[in-house]
Amino acid sequence: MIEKVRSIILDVLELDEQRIDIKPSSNLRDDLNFDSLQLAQLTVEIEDEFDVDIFENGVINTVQEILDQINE
Amino acid sequence: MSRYQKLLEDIDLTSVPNSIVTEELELSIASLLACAISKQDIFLFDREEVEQLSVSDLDTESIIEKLEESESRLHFKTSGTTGEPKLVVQPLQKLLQGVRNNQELSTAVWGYCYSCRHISGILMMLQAIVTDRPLIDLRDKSSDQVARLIDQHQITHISAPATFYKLTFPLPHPCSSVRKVSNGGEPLDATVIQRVRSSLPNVEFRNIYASTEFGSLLISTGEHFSIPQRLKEAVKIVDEEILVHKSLVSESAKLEGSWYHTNDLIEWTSPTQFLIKGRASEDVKVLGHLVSLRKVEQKIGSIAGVQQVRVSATTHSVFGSLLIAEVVMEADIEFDKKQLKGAMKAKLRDYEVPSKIKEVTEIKLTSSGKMSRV
Repeated sequence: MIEKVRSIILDVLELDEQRIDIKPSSNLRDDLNFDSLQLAQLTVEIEDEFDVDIFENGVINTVQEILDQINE
Repeated sequence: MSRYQKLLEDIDLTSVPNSIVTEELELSIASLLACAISKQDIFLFDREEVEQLSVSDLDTESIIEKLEESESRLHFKTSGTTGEPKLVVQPLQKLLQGVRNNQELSTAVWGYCYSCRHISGILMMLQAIVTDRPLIDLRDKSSDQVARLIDQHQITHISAPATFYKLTFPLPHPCSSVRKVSNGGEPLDATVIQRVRSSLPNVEFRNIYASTEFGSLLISTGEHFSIPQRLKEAVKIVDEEILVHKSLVSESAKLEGSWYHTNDLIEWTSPTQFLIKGRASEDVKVLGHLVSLRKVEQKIGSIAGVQQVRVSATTHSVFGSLLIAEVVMEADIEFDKKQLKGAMKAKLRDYEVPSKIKEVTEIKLTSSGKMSRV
């Protein structure tokens, strides 16, 4: 699952895997530089893949929080 | 010396454009000031050279004087109610009328949350320049960073669009320095307001219903609005839609008779109070930007290889409306999402690019033959 989430993140940010280090602790804004539009797209892509609205229970800040939402 | 004089001294003014096309706050403030003082018009979407100017002896009083005397005009775009971009030109002097300068604001530290190319952002810059108070950039920051910046700079005032509050709050810990908060454009709902209040325990909150056509119109401390007595003759609700009299709207607004139809719908919660629910037309607001679904469809439909497209909106609790595109490709043309998205970015503004793009074999129609948007 983390690989799929990582792949979606790379897709949204339009980056190659070599250019960015994505870890569970990575902060979406501070480390991965997501802006609001990209966060919106991320939400849609993850909901499409996992049928989960990651923002359903509040603001999501890290990759781990995305994984936690999917696992819930 | 005004902090903004220092800014002008530090920046090479020969490189300052008379257009604000970047999101760099300091460059935008320098650009705004440089243009105003040298009597150049200020464009929020184009690029030209400005004259080098001397900035010696520019204290705050001189800066205000120069701004008030300035013949500069601000050129900006608004999408109004139709989704079509309209060009609006306003004298800087008129914008200055909205700036407040009083005892309470003499100690303000502002959190800056708008785009530098948005009229609200320009008004914030003018507010800070006239009062010679700092502007702290809070845009595209995590909740942790925002809380740190609030504490570090002892921010007292925040004015921001709805998305900022939805994406940032609650903060990791309460921040007591903030005493006034207001949101512009879309009103906030009770859940978000509660998160803001719990994070900013000393705050006076102002929920504002505003638009580019008429500025700030209705203000509430919560999610319920009412029409104040002074506006009873100029604002009315007809068929649950807010109408504004022509005397309050800009010249570029399209009227029906003496009234401007906002396309914003309300829901009565009492004989005098209402919630502002959403838009009546096929226009939606994506992250604060008005988008015409039909116009986006037309532009996507003009991309080579696209036979048919339908653009609809889905509602998200945090992001509001998000766009979805269903695309039917021409025969023998492969659906390449990445390539298609690239082509869309070349034709659309960034917030108009659908968050979700999917290939379909057919577009569903309603019984009357129109594309269903549900």
